[in-house]
Amino acid sequence: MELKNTKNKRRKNYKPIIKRNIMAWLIMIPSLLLFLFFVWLPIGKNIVLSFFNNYKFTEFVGFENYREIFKDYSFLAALKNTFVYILWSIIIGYFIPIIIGFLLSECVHAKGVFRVLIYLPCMISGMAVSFLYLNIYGDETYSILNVIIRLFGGEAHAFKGNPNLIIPLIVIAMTWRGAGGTALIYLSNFQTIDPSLYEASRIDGVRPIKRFFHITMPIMKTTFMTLLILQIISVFQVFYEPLVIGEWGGPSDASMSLMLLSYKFAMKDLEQAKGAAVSVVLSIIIIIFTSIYFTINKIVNKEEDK
Amino acid sequence: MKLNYKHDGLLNFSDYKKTRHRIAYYIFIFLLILFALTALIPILWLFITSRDSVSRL
Repeated sequence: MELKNTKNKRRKNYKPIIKRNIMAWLIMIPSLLLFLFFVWLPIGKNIVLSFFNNYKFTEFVGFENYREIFKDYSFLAALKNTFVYILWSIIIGYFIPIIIGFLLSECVHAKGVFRVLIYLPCMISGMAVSFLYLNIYGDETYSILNVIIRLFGGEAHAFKGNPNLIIPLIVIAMTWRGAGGTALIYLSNFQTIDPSLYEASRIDGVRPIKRFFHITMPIMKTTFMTLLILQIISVFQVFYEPLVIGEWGGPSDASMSLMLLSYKFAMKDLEQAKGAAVSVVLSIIIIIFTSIYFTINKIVNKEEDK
Repeated sequence: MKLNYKHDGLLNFSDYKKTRHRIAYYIFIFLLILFALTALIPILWLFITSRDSVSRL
């Protein structure tokens, strides 16, 4: 009898939940439809296209496109370059936002002015930044960098044409554009640190450097980890910079990225199926990194809960 | 002096009573000015040259 009563009670409790869910689904339908037509359907079509010979879906070729791209020199170069991009973006672009964020959190004078000035580059479109840096690196005669070098008595150098220099140069442009936004994320996290922790250590006579390594760093660990993985994921999608600064991933594919290669196959070489295959491979790599990010996040959250 | 009222962050008003911490603060400000100029100069140059004709560029 008691069991029956509890069952009835449960049934009675479900009704408002179902009602609320139906309402929620009704509210979500327009956005779901937009997602379906503009995100999921193109993704699905792209995956299907990678198994056909062209965009008209006339002949099913199985994994032929994948086999072809893995034999392609440009693809292997782009795959290698992507990891070189990651390496340089960690060396050049990972620590600068941390330093700026910390400096902003400690600054008292004109904090707002510094915040706005440092965030300014984020407001410029990626394409405009690429053209700006194309003019900075440019050719040997007219580029700003060479003009400055000559001004100080140095020798002009073809920066853009050097295969060993092109990726670090592109990463500098990316860092210049992205550092401000990331620095603000760090700043907001630095500001959430409880001042009483610093106060307690100050009373114990702990020096500022030790305070930084024993209080600030452990608290910021999660943010450092999260933004590192997010940076790696975003580097996989580098596109404008090698297109404009490297002029289609040049010199001789030294700056080619997977995203640009997919675009090049589809739009320049008119091999849409191969472009689709490259983008599927890129998506798989990004999914792997994203799942690593979520796993790390889970582990860190569990540790924090303990 | 604004530093005398700083209560949060790694360094606060009691730290800034020491000269070396004050020097460190001014180094922080100098670095921030450098970063701000690095962000600002290319943008200014972008706007200035956008007014020029192609032949002048």
